[in-house]
Amino acid sequence: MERGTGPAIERQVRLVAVGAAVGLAALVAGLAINLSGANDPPAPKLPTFPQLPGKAPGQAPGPVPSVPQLPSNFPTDLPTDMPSNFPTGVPSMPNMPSMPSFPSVPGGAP
Amino acid sequence: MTGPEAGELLRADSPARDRALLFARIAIALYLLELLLNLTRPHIAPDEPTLSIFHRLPGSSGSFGRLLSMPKAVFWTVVAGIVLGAALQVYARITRPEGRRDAVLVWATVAVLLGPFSLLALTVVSSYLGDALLCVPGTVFVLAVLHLGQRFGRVPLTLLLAAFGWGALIVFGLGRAFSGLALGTLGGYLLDRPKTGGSPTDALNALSGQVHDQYRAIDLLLVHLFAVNALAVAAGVLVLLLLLRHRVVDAMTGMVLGAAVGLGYTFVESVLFIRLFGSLGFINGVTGGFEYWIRQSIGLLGGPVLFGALLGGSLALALTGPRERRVPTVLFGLAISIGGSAGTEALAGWLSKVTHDHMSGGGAFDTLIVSPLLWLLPQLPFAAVAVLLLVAAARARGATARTAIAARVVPGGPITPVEAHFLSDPSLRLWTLAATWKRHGPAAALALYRLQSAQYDLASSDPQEGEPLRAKVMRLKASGPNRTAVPS
Repeated sequence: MERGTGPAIERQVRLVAVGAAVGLAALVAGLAINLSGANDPPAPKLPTFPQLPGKAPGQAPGPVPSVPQLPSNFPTDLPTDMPSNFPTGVPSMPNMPSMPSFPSVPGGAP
Repeated sequence: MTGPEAGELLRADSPARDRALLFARIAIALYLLELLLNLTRPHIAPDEPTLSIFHRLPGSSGSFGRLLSMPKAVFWTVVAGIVLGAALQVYARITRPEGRRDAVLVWATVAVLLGPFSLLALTVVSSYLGDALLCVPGTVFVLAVLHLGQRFGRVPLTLLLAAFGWGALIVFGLGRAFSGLALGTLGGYLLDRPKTGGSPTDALNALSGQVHDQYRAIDLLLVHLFAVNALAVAAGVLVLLLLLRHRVVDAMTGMVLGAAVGLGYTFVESVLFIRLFGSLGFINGVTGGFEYWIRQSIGLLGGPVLFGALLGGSLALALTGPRERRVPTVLFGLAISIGGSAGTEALAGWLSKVTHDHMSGGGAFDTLIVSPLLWLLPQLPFAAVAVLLLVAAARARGATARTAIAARVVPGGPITPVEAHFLSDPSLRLWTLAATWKRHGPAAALALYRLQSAQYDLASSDPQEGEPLRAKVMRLKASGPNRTAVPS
């Protein structure tokens, strides 16, 4: 393959060098845009949820206040002897010899 | 160049063959490295497969799954190709074949090593045959422009189609195969492992962070994809340029080959994206029709075609320019291709986002004017460089061709002084063809066109290698009823 060294080749190599500089600039700009998140697809913003238990925004520094002590001395002597002699005989349903028929569904039943 | 002549070229050119084998070995070595990195990545889910490419997200079948995953059958075919390729190289080392047998063995090894990657592209095209057929007219048009738009000697049509095939099958396949692995590897290193046992608020905050990290992984993946693509394009163009080493090669030759490689890649990518965005339009608002419009109509000469042309031109300059400038010129080409592709992709997306914050999208004006303009705008500086390079290369080619034609002039020989006058001026040559068509009919014009093309091939060939071409020109001059149409 013949090798050229003339000014025409030099001019073309310079053009390619300019293209490379533009390419690197585009790459840096593109990476900056992408990595900064400016190009992220729009998505519904999730609220930032506070960690629980934790401090609410604006809360003064200091120990977390303790939960007030609830009474624990509930009475334990509740009556347990429930009545057991409930009636078990269920009354029978009345006899209905002739139920009215349902009207037919237009277009036929599904 | 006919088929048998192209086959002879492939068998006879040892430097191109050796480089093709070297590039295939490098590609496989890098693929094995990607596999290793993927195998050793941190796993972020307990039920994750060993290789991330086998991981299927729920509901990711169809187009989306094809974009992100690699079919198991294709992967195992690639592995089988690597094993078979290694066996063929061991066989060649032991038997040390020579001549035609050596050439066949080397090209077979290259085909076995790289061929399986083309299954990814073939899967896409065969899956969406209708979309692929829609992309044919635009692709054929650009191929015709690349072939017919060259002044003086042309890249043989066989090699132009080989460049297209390399882009469509190998560049696309390698890009997808490498990126599929890289996506899992980047995800493994960048994404946090999901925490178990936390409160619902912890889970929501972790999810928000994971989405953010996922975007960063995709940003890096795009740069990785464009780097793989650029290296694959460069390998193909270099091998094709070496196949043309007995002819005059210049920046225009490289630009044509690089653009053809990019066009092949664009063809398969367009099919995939038309179908993919056609499926996901309800999410992002983009339709398959818009993708067709922007990729196969208004932007067909941009993107991979533009950056392929600039990379190919750089590589041709590196091969034909001063030896001490070879490495910087190759690096310039890669910087244009990788930086330009990745940078313009991000800039176009950002411009679109900023613009559509202030105007509604999806209307006719937006679809036909605004969105294509925003996609093409970041590419304009590169297009300007490409046009300037093309003009400079065309001028240099004209001067070289006129000198070469004058050196071949022999009264009564393949190029006579009168013929040289017509051959040295493309506009005069075109006028001659038109006048011949008018006076003697299309058959005579076609015969004259063939003769002049053969004379250009002869003028741009190495004097030591020109005997078959000289015989071809004399045969065309002597043949048939169109002899009267040939200026003499």
